[in-house]
Amino acid sequence: MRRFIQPKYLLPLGVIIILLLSQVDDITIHNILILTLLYIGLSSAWNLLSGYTGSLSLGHAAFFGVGAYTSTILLIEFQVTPWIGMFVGAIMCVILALIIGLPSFRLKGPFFTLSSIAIAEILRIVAINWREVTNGSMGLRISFSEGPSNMVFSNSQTYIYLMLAYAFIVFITVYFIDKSKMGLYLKAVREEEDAATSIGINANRYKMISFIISALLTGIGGSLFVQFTLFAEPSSVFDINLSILIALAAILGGIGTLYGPVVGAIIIIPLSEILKSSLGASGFPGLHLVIYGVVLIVVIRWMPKGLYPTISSLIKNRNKKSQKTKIIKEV
Amino acid sequence: MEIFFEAKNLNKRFGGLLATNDVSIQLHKREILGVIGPNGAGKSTLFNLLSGAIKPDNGEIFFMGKSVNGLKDFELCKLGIARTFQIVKPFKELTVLENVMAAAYLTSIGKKEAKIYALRTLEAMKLINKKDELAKNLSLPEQKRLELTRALATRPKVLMLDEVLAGLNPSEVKEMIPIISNIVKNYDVSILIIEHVLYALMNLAHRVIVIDQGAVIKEGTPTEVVNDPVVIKIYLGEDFELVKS
Amino acid sequence: MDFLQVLISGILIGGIYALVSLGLSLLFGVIKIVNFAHGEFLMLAMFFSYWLYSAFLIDPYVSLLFVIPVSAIFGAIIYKVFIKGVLHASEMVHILTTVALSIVLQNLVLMFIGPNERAVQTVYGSSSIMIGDLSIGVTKLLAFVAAIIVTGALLIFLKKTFVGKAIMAVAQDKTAAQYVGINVNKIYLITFIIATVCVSIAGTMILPIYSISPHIGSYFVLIAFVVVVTGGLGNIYGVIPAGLLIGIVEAVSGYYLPVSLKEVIYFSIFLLVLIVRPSGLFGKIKGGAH
Repeated sequence: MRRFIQPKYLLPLGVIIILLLSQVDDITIHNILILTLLYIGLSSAWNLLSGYTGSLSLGHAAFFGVGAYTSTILLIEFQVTPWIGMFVGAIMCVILALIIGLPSFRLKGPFFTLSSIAIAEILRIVAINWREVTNGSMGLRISFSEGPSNMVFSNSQTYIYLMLAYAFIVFITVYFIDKSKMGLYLKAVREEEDAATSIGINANRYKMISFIISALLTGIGGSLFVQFTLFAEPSSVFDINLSILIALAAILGGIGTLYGPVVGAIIIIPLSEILKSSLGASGFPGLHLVIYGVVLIVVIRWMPKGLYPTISSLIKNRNKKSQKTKIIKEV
Repeated sequence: MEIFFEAKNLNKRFGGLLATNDVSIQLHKREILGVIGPNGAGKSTLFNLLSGAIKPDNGEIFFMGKSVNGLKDFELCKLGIARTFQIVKPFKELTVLENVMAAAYLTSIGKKEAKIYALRTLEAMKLINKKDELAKNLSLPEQKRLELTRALATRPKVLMLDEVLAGLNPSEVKEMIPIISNIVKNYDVSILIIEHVLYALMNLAHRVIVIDQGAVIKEGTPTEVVNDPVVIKIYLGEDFELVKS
Repeated sequence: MDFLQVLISGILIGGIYALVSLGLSLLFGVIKIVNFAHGEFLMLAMFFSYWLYSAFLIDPYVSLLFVIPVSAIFGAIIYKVFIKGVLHASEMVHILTTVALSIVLQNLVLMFIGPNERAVQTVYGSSSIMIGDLSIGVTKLLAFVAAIIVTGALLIFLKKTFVGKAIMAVAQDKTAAQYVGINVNKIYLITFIIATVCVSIAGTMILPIYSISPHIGSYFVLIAFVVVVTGGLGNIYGVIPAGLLIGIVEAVSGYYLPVSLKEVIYFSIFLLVLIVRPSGLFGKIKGGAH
């Protein structure tokens, strides 16, 4: 039985569960599924940078927002379909990553993090003030004209499939990178950068590549998200709490691992949605954020590797023990 | 013997300290060149200059006749200059095999080739039975061997060893010595080795240079150097004489 | 004359910014951690003073008598519970711990007190000293003076007292300090307490000037980072010059540019300094920090 608690069995099982749940005609469940899948993608993309290279970004909302606004503006002003708009948004994210990546990677630890926060905040303030383009804090509304070419659907189920595809694509990308030379190089750089460069690894180049991929995948998530909410505003798409939640999901599940962000998102997003709806209404604003903070402190202190690695090594140890007892019994 | 790797008139100053004082050094093909000197003499600085970790204030470095001034460490590695670290830096959370594969990728095309070459190198260095162990679980001598294996997997032409015997007990040192001398035979590399363990150097090095206060003060065969009164003085002070064993 | 007024405002604000940033710089110079919760410490001190004022009518400046000891205890508790245990871990852990602390503190206050802004109204709150045509706000002047006094006191403490010198030793070389018998952990605790007290004094001194909300920490921590980076991380001497520079830049640009772009200016200065001159504009990094 324990043999089946492995990602290669659990992941398809998870997909089946998601598809089954999507058939239940409950808008709350659909919302939770959509957001969870979105965050699986966003956290996996974030993890590619922060988990694999060790450069902690708390400003990924910058890319989310750039993606969101780019596709939305293209749609509203130029009637460009979001299917193309989201790739343009991805390109904008790549450009942004190139501009900030080169100087940022020279910064050590907390300063990289600080600059990531700074960039996202600058973009948020720009979005609030650049009214001609972004309509300021009032935001941009996407009109509800249904149709696949507009990426607007009346049936929320379709959004679930869309987000499932997004999560899948991001995950597969990270999967292949993880198993490839680039993945090993990134891990080496994260472990011991000096040793990595001494064996011929151009650390900055690989950090940059992972940054770019992370940025563009996040931007696409942003575009998809606003097609769902039909609304792009600075305080939601450039929100620092978004950046924190993306990071939290990956850290909770297992930063730097392939499956960590998936596990983390599956746990924290549904919980967070349930919390927000049951507590927010009872007049305790910010409680869900307090809980994020507490979870973060607890995980860092007592389970710094995250849930997935901790649980899988527990399972491995149990397997070893049961094998040992089997051998002893046979003797 | 042709000069393979050469530095001319290297100088490096850190604030008020002239750590490297007009040092010129030549490494010949398939040679083992030892670098000795008292603590703080500037051996590690020299090493860092030669491996591209830091830049000299002036001076030139040549590899196979071409200038490699200003190249960074990963660029030098691609050209064929590899190094190990005095305090080992294994990729702790990666397996031994992954540690070596990361190096093997440099000269391999694709994962398969890198894995094959990594396994071969691990076998030659007698670490193959630990290939799936996490590097952090290895003992210190094993980690030192891993460091060596990893550097070798980049197929270097010059291998720079920074006190690779430090921290090993005498029997562990005895094990390492033939491993190092075999490397030259089997891998066609030239070795530059900083070492404090003098008798190891006696057995390994073809030539030795002595560094004191940033400058080269003596060059010669191990026997010549060890018997030189100036060298004896800087290590032991005026009142001692080398007793021949 | 207008421009001179702007300049004076800038200088006074700059002093305030320096006072707020002092603790952050000290922490980085000695313990080598970036305290993302620094703004929340400021916010808590402000709320504590506010409470003393609204419940007991204690004047903010008088409340310093209470704020200093209470903040020292608070700092000690935070250090022992949250910071000490993660010091041996990676930088990422440090960052995440203080970020988490910041989130928890800010939102706990938000939860229980609500997001509304409050302000302290004092008799002297809006009075100013007039020098010719120039108006100098009394509360701002007092905060400026406090900045000078606290910085001066800190510097004297660091250079002349035994504990202070021990702190400097740890800042320069932790291992060497241990070899000469300094209890590094105790020094860290003391440093953390001092940093907390400094920022708490800052909070009390700015209470008559700013209206407080749970988010005021986020507003000031950003400024503190800009000041600390500009002055040189861990460089106590650089805090006042950097603070003044930032204050003047803010005042001057506030005069010519829309207020909402203020933060963009800070962030841009911050990024610029980090990238162009990471050791700060005012000299070398104290304590051998990277």
